[in-house]
Amino acid sequence: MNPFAHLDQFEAMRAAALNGPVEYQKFIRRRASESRRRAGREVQLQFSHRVERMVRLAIASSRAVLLVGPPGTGKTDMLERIVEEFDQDPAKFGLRTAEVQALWVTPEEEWTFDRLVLGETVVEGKLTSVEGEVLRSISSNKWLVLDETNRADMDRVLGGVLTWLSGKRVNVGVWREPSSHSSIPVFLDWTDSADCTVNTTDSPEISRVYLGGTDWRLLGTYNAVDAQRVFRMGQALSRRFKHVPIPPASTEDFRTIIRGHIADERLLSVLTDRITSLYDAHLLVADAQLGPGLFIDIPAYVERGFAMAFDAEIARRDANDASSPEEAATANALVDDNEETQSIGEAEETSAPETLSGSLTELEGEDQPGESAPLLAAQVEADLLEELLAEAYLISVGNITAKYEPEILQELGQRFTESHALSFASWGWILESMKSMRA
Amino acid sequence: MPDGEEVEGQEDSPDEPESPTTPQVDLAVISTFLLESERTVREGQLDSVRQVLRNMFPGNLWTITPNENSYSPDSHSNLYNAEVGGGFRTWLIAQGADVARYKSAIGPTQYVSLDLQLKSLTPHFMGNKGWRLRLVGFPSIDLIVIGLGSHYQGTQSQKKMGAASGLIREMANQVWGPELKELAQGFPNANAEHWDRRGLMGEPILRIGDLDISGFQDGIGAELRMVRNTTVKKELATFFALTGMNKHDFDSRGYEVISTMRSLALRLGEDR
Repeated sequence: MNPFAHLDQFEAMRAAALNGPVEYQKFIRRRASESRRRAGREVQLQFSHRVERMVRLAIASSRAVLLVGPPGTGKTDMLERIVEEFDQDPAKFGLRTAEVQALWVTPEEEWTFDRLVLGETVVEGKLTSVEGEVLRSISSNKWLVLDETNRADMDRVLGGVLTWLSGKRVNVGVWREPSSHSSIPVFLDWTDSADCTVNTTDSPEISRVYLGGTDWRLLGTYNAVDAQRVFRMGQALSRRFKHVPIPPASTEDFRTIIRGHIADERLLSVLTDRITSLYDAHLLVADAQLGPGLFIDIPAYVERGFAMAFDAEIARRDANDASSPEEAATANALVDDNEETQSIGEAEETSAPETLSGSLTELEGEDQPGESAPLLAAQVEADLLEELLAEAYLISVGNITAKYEPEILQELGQRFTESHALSFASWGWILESMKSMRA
Repeated sequence: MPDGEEVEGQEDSPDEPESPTTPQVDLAVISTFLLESERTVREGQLDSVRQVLRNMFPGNLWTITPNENSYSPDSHSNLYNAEVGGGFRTWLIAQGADVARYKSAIGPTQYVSLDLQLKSLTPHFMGNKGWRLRLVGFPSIDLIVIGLGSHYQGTQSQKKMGAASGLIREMANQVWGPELKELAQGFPNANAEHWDRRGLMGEPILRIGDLDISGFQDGIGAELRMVRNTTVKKELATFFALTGMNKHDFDSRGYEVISTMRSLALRLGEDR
């Protein structure tokens, strides 16, 4: 954004300039970082515009809708936002209901029909019926949102509800009240009214009927990749839903998105390239696609790691400056070792690369001992970057990749090392670390 | 002619400069106004000034704000005893020119300005905030300053303000891009040469009002500090692009300079 074109931006720039060149540079860096974030958001908005339209129209026109895509593609966030849009103006989407509220649940592997539809418990020694999530959503006139439906065997769990989703009346069990010894049949059915209701009828028999309104919706997210390792959705159930694909961002779009999450200018280029290479490798390996959402925290981890390393080194040097001559001699020996490491590195390259910590002291205008000497040697910084990147990848994505088949892991590792996203050693370390995630 | 009303024959695109021979752009009207020391005379000239300026700065894009800075009762003695410098004061004394004579020579008006601000930047009155294209006349020394400047609120130091203007200029260069940046090279950001000494004068200024100073240091000419107070010093320090001209040069070449400044300002005002 051109700061001259906006009064508040110009005044902010002017105020930073009045505070001197160091503050001004901070302002410039902040501005650049904000600009990158904006660009990343714009890419994400452009990318999702058509997809979001599909989701809105699918929900507006269909009883049951599933968002299907790899993890990290923002399915849950998108659904939350769109449900909120429906609530703000239901009429805009052709609904007659006054408001839209949703009941959000995440199915678990151990779920049964009882949990999701109709179950029983014991109250004061007597069997009592308990509404499952489906019946609860009907009785409270709320949409039901099943987040990550692949976690449970939905075919088994939903059972007879499938028939109801086709528009038919279905008996889902019996209702027991603690106060009476009798039980009455429970039906799921539909009404022409917009809103859901629960009735107790006595014709043709006494029964408890849950009536889904025309504006009621069953929504869900489904991780198509994860389903390889959890529960696939059967044909019968799958037919009852409209499926809206939520694809992962392209590599180029991801590059713009990830730049918006890198605050430190000094790390911008290297992190953009490395993390984009990680993302791209996943994109290219069948059954390993992941969305941007799983990678966007990696930059913050690495940036914080470097900041802590720099702080530790400054503290070490300050302690050395205040220490005894003997200790100083020892410390100097360590520094000499460091320099030896650096010179080893330099022997392999024709010129030592500019270090991040060197540019840090230059930008901050601080006088450091041996003014032009960086805090950390170039090789030390390179090693630290490699370690932090591997760690950040592990904690961000490891719980998913840990469950990949060996062939997929092998292909991923090959792509990582060939693209220099990670070193061979780092990938080996990640593989070893992931073993404890396979519980 | 009221502000904002189109002038016959004027093109709609404001960043297309008119021909230098266009009769509507009579810069002598502007320079006369900027170098007029008497307020009552200036008031009678204002309508004509607006008409001329509107040919270059249409009302749908620009606000035009006339300003003046009069010397306070203490200004002249402060100028004489502090700002002018020991060497010049010694020479004045030798010429028999005391404070009263100096005051009489300088006149009541320190500067007269016309401030042009893009409406896109400040659709409503926002005081001194933002930046503007300024035409500033110093009646006592026949000097007109043309430039882009902000305001000095937030600092009492012209050095700090000048340094800040330098940083603002760096950003302006980025926004302008290579071609406009090259065009702007002739208009540096303000420094002490401009707000204290002779940086704004193309040729030596040999008169201060009706006081002939050609005998001072072999005709070295006036410095700006001889006629401006500390507040104006800070104002000048806010300029991130400026130049100075006498009336003759302004009337003959000023159109090109103002057109360039206008182009620079328009580009800065673009939201891209």
